[in-house]
This record gives sequence, C-alpha cells and structure tokens, in this order.
Amino acid sequence: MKRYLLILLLAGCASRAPEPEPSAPPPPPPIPETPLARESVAIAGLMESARNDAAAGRLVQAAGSLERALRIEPRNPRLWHELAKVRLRQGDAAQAANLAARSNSFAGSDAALRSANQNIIEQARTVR
Amino acid sequence: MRSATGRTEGGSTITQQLVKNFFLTPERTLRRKFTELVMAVLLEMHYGKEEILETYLNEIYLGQDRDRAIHGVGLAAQFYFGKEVRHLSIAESALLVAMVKGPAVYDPRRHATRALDRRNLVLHEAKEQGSITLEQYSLARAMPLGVVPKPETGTTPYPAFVQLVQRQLRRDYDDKDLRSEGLRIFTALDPRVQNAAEHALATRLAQFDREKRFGPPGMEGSVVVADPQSGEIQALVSGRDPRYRGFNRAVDAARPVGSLLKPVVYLTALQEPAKYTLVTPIDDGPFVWKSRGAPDWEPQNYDKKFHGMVPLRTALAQSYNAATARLGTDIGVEKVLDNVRRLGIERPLKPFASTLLGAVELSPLEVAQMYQTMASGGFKTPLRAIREVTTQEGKPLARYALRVEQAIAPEPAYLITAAMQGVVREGTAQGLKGMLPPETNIAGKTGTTDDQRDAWFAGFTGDRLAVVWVGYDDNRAARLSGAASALPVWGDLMAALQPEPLELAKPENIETVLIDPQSGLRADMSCPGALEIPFAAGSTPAGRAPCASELGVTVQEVKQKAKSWLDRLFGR
Repeated sequence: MKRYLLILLLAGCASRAPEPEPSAPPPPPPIPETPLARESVAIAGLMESARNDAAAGRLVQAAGSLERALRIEPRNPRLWHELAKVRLRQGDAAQAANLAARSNSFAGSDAALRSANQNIIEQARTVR
Repeated sequence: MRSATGRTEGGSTITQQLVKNFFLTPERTLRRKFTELVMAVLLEMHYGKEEILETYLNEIYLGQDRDRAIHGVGLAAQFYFGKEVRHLSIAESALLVAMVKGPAVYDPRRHATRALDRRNLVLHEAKEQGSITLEQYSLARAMPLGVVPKPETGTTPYPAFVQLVQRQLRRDYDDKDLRSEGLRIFTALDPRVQNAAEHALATRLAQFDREKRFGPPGMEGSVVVADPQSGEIQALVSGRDPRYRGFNRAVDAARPVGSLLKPVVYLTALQEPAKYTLVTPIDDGPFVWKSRGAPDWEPQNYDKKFHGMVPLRTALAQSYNAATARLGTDIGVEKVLDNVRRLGIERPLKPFASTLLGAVELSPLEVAQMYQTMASGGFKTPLRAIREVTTQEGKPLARYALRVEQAIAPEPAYLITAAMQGVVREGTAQGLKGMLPPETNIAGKTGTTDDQRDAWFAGFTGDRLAVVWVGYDDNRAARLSGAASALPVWGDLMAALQPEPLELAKPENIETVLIDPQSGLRADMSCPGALEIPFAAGSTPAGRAPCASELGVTVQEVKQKAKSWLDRLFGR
C-alpha cells in the first residue's frame, strides 16, 4: 500500500514521464512493429541519462550517452542537436556548430529544431 | 518459458532488471530501488511487453570473455556458437536461456554436464508449455551442447585491426602511459563484419588464383569497412591471410587509385550549379593536354573509343577518361585537389592533370576517409578504430569523441551521391545488381589502373561503407578490372551483412524533376524512359523535351528551347 502511494507520488514528480495527461484524448493506437519503434526504448533511456548528466554538469558522460545513442540511430536529428548543446557547454564552439549543421541535415521540415540549431550556430559564432 | 522470464534474485521483474541494466548504476540503495520501480512502471505503461522483453534480451548478461562482458543474446550467440541469433537451433537457444540464471555456474565450456542438464530442463519446460512439439523436444534433447572453442588468450585473431588501434593510441598517448596498466580500450571492431570481410576476400582471391594460373605468390587484397555516419572502423583486412601479423595493406599499402578519384572531379563541377548539373553535356571527344617540359597527355577510354557529347552523370557512370580529363582541366586541377584535401586526404598530391585520372597513390584507409565524407552528406568524420578509452575505474577520457566537420555543402554532396548510385544502376558497377537487392540503392565507384595492376571498388549503403583493393604485391598486371575483381568481394561482403538501403536525407535546396535522358530536358510521365534527377535549386533545365510538349507548351517553344540548348552545347 505504502509502496503504491510512493509510486504515484514519484510518478507525479517525474518531469518527463511518457504517460499522457489523464484529461488528454486517448493515445493513438500503437505503431506497428518497426525497427525504429524497437530501438526507441534504448534511445529514450540514453537521452534521459544524457539530460540528467548534462543537468548535473557531467558533460563527458552526457556526450558518451549521446554518442552511444547515435550509434543506434545515426539519423536522429534530436541526438545530433543534444550533442551540439553539450559541446557548446564544453566550450567547443566549432564542434557545436558542425553538429548543429549535421542535425539540420536530418531535420527535414522540423522548423523548431532547425531554429534551435541555428541558434547554436550563431552562439558558436559569437564564442569564437 | 518460465525459467527465462520469471523472477530472479531480489524479486525484480524483467522490466526492473532492464531498468537496472540500462538506466542506472549498480549501487544498492533503497532510494534506487524505488526509482527503479517507478521507471519500470512507466516503462510498462509506455512500451509493450514484447518490446521490453526484446530490449531485455539485448542487454542481459550471459557470460564473460576475459575482460569483456557478454551482454545480449546476439553477442552470446557469437561467443558460444559462432553464429547469429537467427541461425540458432532450438537446443542452442535453450542453452542461452538456461544460462540466464547464472552464466558462470552454467558455463557450457567449464561445466558442460551442469549446463546440459539445465538446458534439457529448459527444453522440458518449453515442451510442457507447448512452445515446442514433442518431436522438436526429443530432437533438441539429443543434441550436444554445440559450443565452439573459445579463442586463445594472448593472441588476437585480428592483428591488422589491433595494429591500427595501437598506432592511433601511440599518436595520442605516451608509450609509458600505454605500458603502465590502467587504460581500458574499447574498439569499434565488429567481429561479424570482420568475419564477413575476411571470408569474402579469401574466397574470391582463391577463385581468381585458380582462374589466372599465374602461380604463387597469389593475388592479394585488403578491405576496410566503416560506419559512414560515426566514422567507426568496423573491420580491417590486411591480406588474404588475416592472421598474418606483418604488412598491413589496408593501412600502409599506398597504390594508384585510378578512377576512384573521379567522383571528386564531378563533385567539384557540381559545386557550380550554374555551370554543371547531372545532365549537362560533357565532351568525351579525343583530348590532349600539353604542358611545358612534359610529354603530351592523351588519356584513352577503357573501351578505346570516344563517345562524343554525353550527360555528366553518364560520363561518371561509364567512367569516361577523356570526358573527365577535359572536365577536370576546365574546372582546374587545383580546385579538384582542394576538394580531395577537404574530403580528408592529408598527404600532398601533385597538381598534374594526370592526377585527375587517379595517378595518385593512396591506402585503402585513406580512400575510405574520402568516401566517408561523401557518404555522410559532406560531413567529414575522422575514421576511428577506437571508440573510447577509460581509466581502470571506467572514467572516460574524452580523446576519441565523435567529431564532424562540414567539409562539403549538402547540395553537391547529395548530387555526387546520386551520380554514384548511377554507377551501380547503369554504369560500370552493374555487376552488383545480381548480388544485392536493387532497393539497396548502393552508391559507389570502380577503379582500375594501367595494365590492371590495381583493382578497386569503393561504395556505401545506408549503414556501411567499404573499400576493397585487389592486386599483386609485386605489382604484376592482374588483368582484372575493378568491376571484375574488387567489386565481387565488395558484393559478397555486403550481401552477408544485409545492408540497410541508402536513403539520402534530401537537402532543402534540392529539387527532383523528371528528365528525358535523350535531350536532357524536362519530361513528363508520357516520356518513355524518363528519369528522376535531382538538381540544386535554380539549376533545373527550363526546356521541355519533345515528348512532353503536349503539356500546353507549343512545338515552336520546344524548338526554341532545344535550339538554345544546342547553341550552349556547341558554343562552349
């Protein structure tokens, strides 16, 4: 009993819980098995630990997790973007700009991601 | 199979174990246990049981190869049976399941009887639950363990790869640091890829030797396989005897590259979209290059013929020498060489016109670097044999980080890749067609040098880049073209790995239109044999082909366009 209570409490605190809001419309039916869907558990986990490491200032570890994830999904523009952010924080402006450009090359029509990448490229320019 | 999916030590569910393996560190605290539980619940809400089980199977600990932990059924299948998971028999699969409970206790190499008993217990359970039939059960039960011998300690089965690792380490660390204990080196070597490469090369070389009857020493060869996105070197074969610890042809044998350099000439042209597109007519008439103090240079074509005006993409696909020499000298040899450097070749190259046709000596590894940059949309990633170096305690040293550099703009990189796909679809590398599914959309280039002393093939799929060289160490003429010798090795190797199709990320400024191959003008669906060709924005041909004239365009207009095209063509 106590344990379940704690689960609910903690679940409520988890900021990036993949669970949809109770009021939200029912989630779409699960996507049929694709290699991508199967890898996503691993990618989600690595992204999460990279974010936690980055937040705690463990930038080398964060970059390590992102590189691992990129080995599984080399065409995932979010991963390249996250790695660009880590490099920028590490003071490697040139790499940050190149990684952001790499992210753009896979970003397709994701305007938000493109502008976030552009942002990194411009920041990198001012640092240099 | 309850024995595989049931509860184990500490009362964790599979999902919790997965969380533990994957997301968290192995410390044991109460807080951690709770976090684990929460993550497990979230995971189960978000992902299906099957996905979780699958991920679990890919992460589970199944044994120890000296300092290397064997995680996941894929690695375990290789480690214990020397094969891929999908090729495992029921008995072999049951043995892996049996080992989940304790890979050391049930190690089939050290405790064969115990392992066999437990395997048979698993088989029994499987039969009881109806996962296998009685017949399958009896057959599997009668099978031996089928475990392959463990590789010897102290020697590496991959001396060529290890040599490269040592060299990269020595470049970055003092010998003293390397000798003193403490560094842990994680390499990018993929044994499955390495084995496929070794096997493909050895088999084909033996076949060529039989056909040639030149006598010993036989033909030699080398192979480099890398991941085009990460730049990680997955396999390196230095010769027909991959266990030989001597001369490393893949790294140290610089040989003339022949036509492997041609894509760089065409890439340089495509960087000027106002002047050159994939359909721009190029002159493959006789060509003479005069320079002071040197004899005239008159490159011949491989078929000893000249082909007149041909579309740029065809000149590359058919590897026409006269057209390439004319194009390269028009653009400027220096400009082409500048691109060779940008693509990652560090050794100085002579600024001669003959360099354009590959009178340049490069190692297979250098060629792989050059093609890696093209294969990843113009982003150069230095090829690395080492993934990570950590201290004894596992603290990463950030020396071998993934680095990318935008060396070539995305548009010309996209166009040259499309042109290299044409080499396989309709050019000199059509031999690959029978070896791999057409939807793989391979991009590549054959290379053959004077008197066929060196035969090359360099190419890439969606997930792998490979370079193959074949020839004689004593520089004898092999009398085999790149298409006849290096290409089959490449094809065998890739076919064994079932590569992902090459799907290029299309840059924003690229548009694809239908083109009539005869006229090089815009076509529509009514044009027979019309091809989809990509263009840099603004460089798409304006004129419509005669076959497309019913699109509301007058015949007069078409004639006008055709005339101006002809004028441009012959006015140059």
